[in-house]
Amino acid sequence: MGFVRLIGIRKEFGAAVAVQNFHLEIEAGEFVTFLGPSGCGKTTVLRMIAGFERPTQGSITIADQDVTAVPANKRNVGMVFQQYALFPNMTVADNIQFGLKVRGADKRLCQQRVEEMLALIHMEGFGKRYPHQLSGGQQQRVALARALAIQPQVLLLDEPLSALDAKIRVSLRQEIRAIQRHLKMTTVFVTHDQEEALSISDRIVVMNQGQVEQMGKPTDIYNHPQTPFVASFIGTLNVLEAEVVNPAERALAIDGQILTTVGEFEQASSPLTVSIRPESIQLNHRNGHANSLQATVEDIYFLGSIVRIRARLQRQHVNVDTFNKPGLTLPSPGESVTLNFDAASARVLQKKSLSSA
Amino acid sequence: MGGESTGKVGKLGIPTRFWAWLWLGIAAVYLFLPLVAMVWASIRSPTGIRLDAYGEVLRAPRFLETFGFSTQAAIITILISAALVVPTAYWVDLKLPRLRPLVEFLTVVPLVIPPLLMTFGLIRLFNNTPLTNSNQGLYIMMLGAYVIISFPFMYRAVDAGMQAVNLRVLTEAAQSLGASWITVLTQVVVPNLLVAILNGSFVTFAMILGEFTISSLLNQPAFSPYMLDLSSRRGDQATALGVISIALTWGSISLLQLVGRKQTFKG
Repeated sequence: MGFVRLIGIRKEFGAAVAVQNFHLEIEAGEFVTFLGPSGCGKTTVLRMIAGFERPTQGSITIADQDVTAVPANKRNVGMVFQQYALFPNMTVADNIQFGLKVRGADKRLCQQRVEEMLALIHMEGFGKRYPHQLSGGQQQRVALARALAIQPQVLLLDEPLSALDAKIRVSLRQEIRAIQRHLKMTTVFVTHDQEEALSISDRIVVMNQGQVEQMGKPTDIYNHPQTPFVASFIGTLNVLEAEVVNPAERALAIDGQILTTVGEFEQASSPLTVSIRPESIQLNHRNGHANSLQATVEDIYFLGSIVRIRARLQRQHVNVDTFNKPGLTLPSPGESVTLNFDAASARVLQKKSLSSA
Repeated sequence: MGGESTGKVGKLGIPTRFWAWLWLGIAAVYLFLPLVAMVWASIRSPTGIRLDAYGEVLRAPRFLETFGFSTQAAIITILISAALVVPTAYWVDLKLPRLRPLVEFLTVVPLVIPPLLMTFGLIRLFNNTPLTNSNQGLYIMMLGAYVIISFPFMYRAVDAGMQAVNLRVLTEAAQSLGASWITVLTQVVVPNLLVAILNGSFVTFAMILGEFTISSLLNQPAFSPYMLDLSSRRGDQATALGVISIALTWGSISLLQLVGRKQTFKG
C-alpha cells in the first residue's frame, strides 16, 4: 500500500475535464515527478493533494487517512510554489517559523527549527533579511525551508525552478534532491521540463490531456517510451511513420526502405509509428547493425558536447546525435550517408494512450 | 516637446532641456498661482502683512468643532469602508475573479452619481424612519453616504495593492502551512495591504474634509459648510481656513508617503 494514494481521481472545471481516471500510489520517501505540457492536469493533481482543489470523483489518502475532504490547512502537507510566495512583510526567520507559530509551537522550538532549516539550505545568517533582499534562488530555498519546517508528511513542489535562470536551476535541483534524500521526504514534483524530471526523480508520471500516458523510472521512460506522445515529449526522439511489410519477420518500411524491429504488430500494410533515439544511430558504419537506411544530410547543428545531424530519408527527417570527440569528421550538407542502428533501437509505439498504469 | 533626449539641441536650434523646463514652469504656475494668491489674500491688510486672520480662525471655537467633527466622520468612514472593501476585494480576487469587472463597475458608480442626487435619494428612501427623524439618524445617514463615496478610492487602492503582492498564492502558502482564514487575513492579507489601505484612507480623508453637499443637505456641522459660511462673512478668514485645510491635506499625504516608504524599506 502506498503512503500517498490517489484512487480514480477525476476533476472537472465546469464542462472541462482537467483530470480523469488518475490512479497513483506513492511510496514513503519516494520522489515522484508529474511531467507534461502546460494544461495536462499535472498541477491540478498536485493541488488536489495539497487540498486547494477537491476532486469531482475519487479519493486521496495520506498515511492511510482519507484526506479527500480535509481542508488544506489541516493536511500537514508542505508546498513550494513557482512564484516563491514568501510573505513580504516577514523576515526569512519569520517566514520559516510561520507554520510552527500557527501550530502554537513555543518560541525555543521555533528558533531551533529556524536554525536547523537555515543550516539545511546553507543560508545561515540570513534570518533577519527580508525576501526582497534575496535573489530568486535564495528565496526559493527559503520557501523550501518554510515548507519543511512543519515536518510535513508530503512535500509538494509546483514548478519550483521555472522562474530561475539556467545555472541556478541545475544547482538548486541537485540541492532539493539531496535534502529530500537526507530527510527521506515523500515528494511530488511538477515540471514541464523533461531534463529536470529525468535527472531528479525516482519515478516519473508522464501526463497528457488529464490522463497518465506512462509511469516508470526515468530510464524506462527515456529508453522505452510506450506511446507516441511520450516518445515525442521525452528527449529528441525521432518519431517516424512506418508501414508493416512482413509481420512474421517484423519488417517495416519507412519511406520505402525496409528495416527490422522487435515490437509486436498486426497485419501487413497497416500504418504504425516507430521511434529511434538520435544517439542510437551510427553514421556510415554498419558495425553489425541490423538496419541501414540511405539518407541525405540536410543540416548540422553544433550543440556543444553533441553534434546533431539532420538527415532526410525521402519524406521524413531523422536526427542523428554524435559526441563532439576530438578528430570528429562530419559530412557536409547534401552528402549521402547511411544510418545504421539495431533492430532493438527501432521501437514500435502503441497507438492509443494508456489510461492508467 | 523634445523630451527624447536631454542636453541635446532640437529642430529649431533650441536646447530640448529648455522646452522641458518651460512646460514644467507652465504647470507649476497653473498649480501654484491660485495658492500664492490665496495666501496673499489671507495675509494682506490695509496696514500691511498680518497673520491676524490665521490667529482668529485657529482661535474660533467653531473651527475646532467642525474640523473635529469632519475628522471623526472621516475616520469612522475609513474604518467601515476598509472593513467592507478589504474582505470583498480579497474574496473577489481569490474566489470570484470572473466577477471582478462587475465589482469594479459597481465601485465606480458613486463617482458618476452626483452627491446631490444621492443625498436626496437617501432622504426620500429613509423618509419617516428613525434615520430622518433625529439628528443622530441624519449623522448616520451622512456616514453611510460617505462610505459609499469612499468606495471607488478605497477599492481601487486595495485592488492595486492586491495585484502587486499576488495575495492568492500567499494565501495558499499560508493555508498549506496550517493557517486558518482568520490567521491568513490578520497576518498575511492586512499587513501586506497596509500601504494600499493607507493610500485609500488618506484620499478618503482628504475628500471628506472637503465634502460639502452631503453634510450641508443633512444639516451636519462639518468643516466645509463652515468654510463656506465663513466666506460669506469674513473673506480673509475663509481664505486663511482654505490655506490651513490645504496644509492639512498635504500633511496627510506626506504622512502617507512617509509610512509607505518606511513599509517598503522594511519589507
